[in-house]
This record gives sequence, structure tokens and C-alpha cells, in this order.
Amino acid sequence: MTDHDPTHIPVIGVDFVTHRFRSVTALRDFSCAIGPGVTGLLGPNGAGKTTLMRLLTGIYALQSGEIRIDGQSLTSPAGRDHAAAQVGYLPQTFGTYGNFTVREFVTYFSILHGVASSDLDTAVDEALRRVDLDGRAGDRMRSLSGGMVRRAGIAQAIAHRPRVLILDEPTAGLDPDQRYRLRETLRDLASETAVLISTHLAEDIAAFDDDVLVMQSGQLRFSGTVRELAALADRAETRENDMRSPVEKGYSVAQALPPMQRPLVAAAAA
Amino acid sequence: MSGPGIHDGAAWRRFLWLFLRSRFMLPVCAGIVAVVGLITLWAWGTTPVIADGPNAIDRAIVQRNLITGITAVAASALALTLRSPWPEMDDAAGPTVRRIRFVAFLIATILIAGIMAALGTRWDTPGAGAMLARGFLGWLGIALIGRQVLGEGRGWWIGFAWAGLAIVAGDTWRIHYPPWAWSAQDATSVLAWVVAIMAFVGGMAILARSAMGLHDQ
Repeated sequence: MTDHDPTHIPVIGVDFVTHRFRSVTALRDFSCAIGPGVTGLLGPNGAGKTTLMRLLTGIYALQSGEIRIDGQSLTSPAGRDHAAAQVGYLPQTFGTYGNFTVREFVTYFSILHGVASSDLDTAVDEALRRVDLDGRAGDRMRSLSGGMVRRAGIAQAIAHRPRVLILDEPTAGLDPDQRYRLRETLRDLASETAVLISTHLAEDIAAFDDDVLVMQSGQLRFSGTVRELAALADRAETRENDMRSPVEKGYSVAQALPPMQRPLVAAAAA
Repeated sequence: MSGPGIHDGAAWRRFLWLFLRSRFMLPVCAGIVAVVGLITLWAWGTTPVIADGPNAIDRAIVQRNLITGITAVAASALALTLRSPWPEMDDAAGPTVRRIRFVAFLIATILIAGIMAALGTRWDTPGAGAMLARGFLGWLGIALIGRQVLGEGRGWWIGFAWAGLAIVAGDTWRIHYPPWAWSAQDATSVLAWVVAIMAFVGGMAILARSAMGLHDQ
């Protein structure tokens, strides 16, 4: 679902959010709507992607504007608690306690997200199965490869069955095979959960034939499908021996588009 | 599932066990640093005793240096246990971890300060117990403020540098510690108590603010 499809109520609605860090404005009147399936959040480093994700997860308090998750506003502490229950989050980088087993790692966060003790083992088993780590549940976190640690991170984010899964640069540092397997996992998860993936690599988004938001300088520059982004490739300046894919070319064009001031968030949420 | 937070006793027990286990390695590492630091301090502090004989002034210098060293190391080690490898995931899971951590930290602080005060009564420096408890609380506050200013893993730098200078000052000026070497001052020193209490209250206020989920940004 995209902003141009007002017939669907978005899982996430962001309205005129501005967020500043002292003199730096990370988000400027940012609005968007995110629906079921995979939504790619594309933008160069410093575009405001991580700030947006931390706002969506309740890590940062809103300074201005409004965010709704599943219809619940995050402006109040209760709303931020709601976000904690409805959102699963995997940051770009995270360390682990090496002495934790994979099962303990996932259990730790499942309890924090409110999974009752009676459901805990089932929820953890299910999450590990979905990321294909059920065979490594008893292994220490320090014994896992980078791709497995990332998948364990996804397991902790989905064990409480969130409505929204937010992943910040999930493929960073992974080899091609690990990237492929991770994308397959995400595609599978997207059948039940809205998945928001932040990346600065257009190829990550091209792997999903879903929706894309392009950010630049804290503003939304494009909102549409992967195909619509690729269609912008015709407007790209082509160079000799240009090896870029249509999506990558479209991404370049989209970054230079004027800011989108008012997608159809309110209309869709009303 | 009924929202973030821990909803039943069994989940609490499992979480507390995991929480304590997750922090286990940090105190062990901090303990190793503390032991090495104490041995170094002890060797450093006993040098004048060996050179000049075990007179009262030498013993007082050794004990005051030890009070400064032990309290600065112990406080910094405790502050290091606040470090989490996944702070964003803790925060995204709601305020529970910050609150549990604050309560656990407070209990540990009271216990350690109490043990130090009790141990200090065995020393022949007057008011050594009070000096130990005061030093621990003050250095803890300084470590917490340093953690806020310099970052999670670097809060102990200020305390270590400050305490190190205070120990050097004790050896250099004999028993006449300058005012900034607050943790080596007499148990009756008003200035030392003011520094310790202000630092402790300031540091704990920062931690409490974080526990209540009041983010800076």
C-alpha cells in the first residue's frame, strides 16, 4: 500500500513530523503512510531514516507532528507503550552477551515485550523456526555468524507477534548468500506483518516488488511502488558504461525530486 | 500478550535470572580490574612505609590512598554494569529494563556502601567507615555524570584520573591533601561531604530521569 492508495488504512501514519538535534534538523515536516507488506525506506546516510525509525519505535519522543501505529497516537506515554507492544525493532548494530544462548536472547526480549510466561516457550520456538534458527537455539550467541546474529535479532523482534516490524539496514555486512536468505525470511514475514526496511542500497529494495519511500535531507521525496521508482529511470542522466539497474537510476532521480509535503495520510487514516 | 512489560510472576523470575546473567560478565571483568588496581595501589601506598618505617603518618597516607582507590574503582565498576550491548532494543521494548536496572543499581549501591562503612571500622584512621561510604557514593555520582558526558563506556575516566591525582597528591604532600582530593579528607570535612553528596544526587538524578523514560531527544 502506498500514499496514493487512500482506500486502505495505513498501519503506520506519520503526519508533519519535525525532529531536531540541537541545530540539526533530522526530519522536516515529514509525512508518510505505511501499509501491509514490505516497505523500503531508501535514502543516503544522514537522510533521517534512523531518526524516523527511532520515533516509530518510541525510542525518541515526538517533538512535533503526529505518528499513529495501528490507529494509536504515539504522542502520549501510553501510546509509546502501545508502540512497544505493536512494533518489533532491529537496530542497525547491536552487541550481544556472548554467554546468552540464542533461546535466552529471544526469551529476554519476548518477556520485555509482554509475552506471558504461559506463551513464552511457544512464542520463542515459533520465532526461531521462522528465522530458521530452531536448530541453533541452544548455541551461544558468540558462536553465531554475522548473518545468524542478524536472524536472531529478527527473532527477538517478531516473537511477540508485532503488527509492525522495523529493520534498520538489516543486510549491512552480510555476504550475498546471507542477504538472499534474509530477504527470503523477510518476504515470508511480510505475509503477516507490515515490514519497514531502511537501507541505502537500492538493490535491497528491488528484491521486493512492494512499496518504496525515498528520503533526502529529512524530507520525503518519493512514495510509490518499486516499479514506479524504476520507471523514473528514464529521467536519469546516463553515463557511459552505466551499470546501474533501473531501480538504482530511479532512486537517483527520486532523491532530486522536490519534497512531498502532503501525502494522503490523513485521508487514508480518517 | 497484553502490552509491554512483565505481567506474571513466572515471567518476572525468568527475566530477573536472564537480567542478572546478562550482567554477570561485566562485574567479573570489573572485579579483575579492581583487584589489579588495588594491588597496584597497595604497592604504591606501602612504598613510604617500607622506606620510612611503619609510623602513624605513613599508615594514614596508605589508608587514605586506599580509601580513595578502593572507592573510585568500586564505584566505576558498578557504573560499568549499567552498560548494555543493545540499548536501542532495550528502549524499543518499553521502559521496563530502565526501571529494573535503576532499582537493581540502587540496591547494589546501598549494599556496597554499607559493606564499606562496616569494613572501615576495622581501620585505625578515625572515621574510615564514613570516609569509605562517602568516597564510594561520591565517585559513583562522578562516574554517572561522566557516563552522561563522555558516553556509556567512558564514565570511569574522570573518576580514575581524579582519584589517581589525589593519591599522587597524598604521597607528594604527605598527609596534607589539597581540598580537591576530597575523598582523602577527614570524615568531618564539610567540603568533602558537599562534593560527595552533590555528585551522588546529580548522578542518581540523571539515572532516575533515564529510568522514567525522559529522553533527551
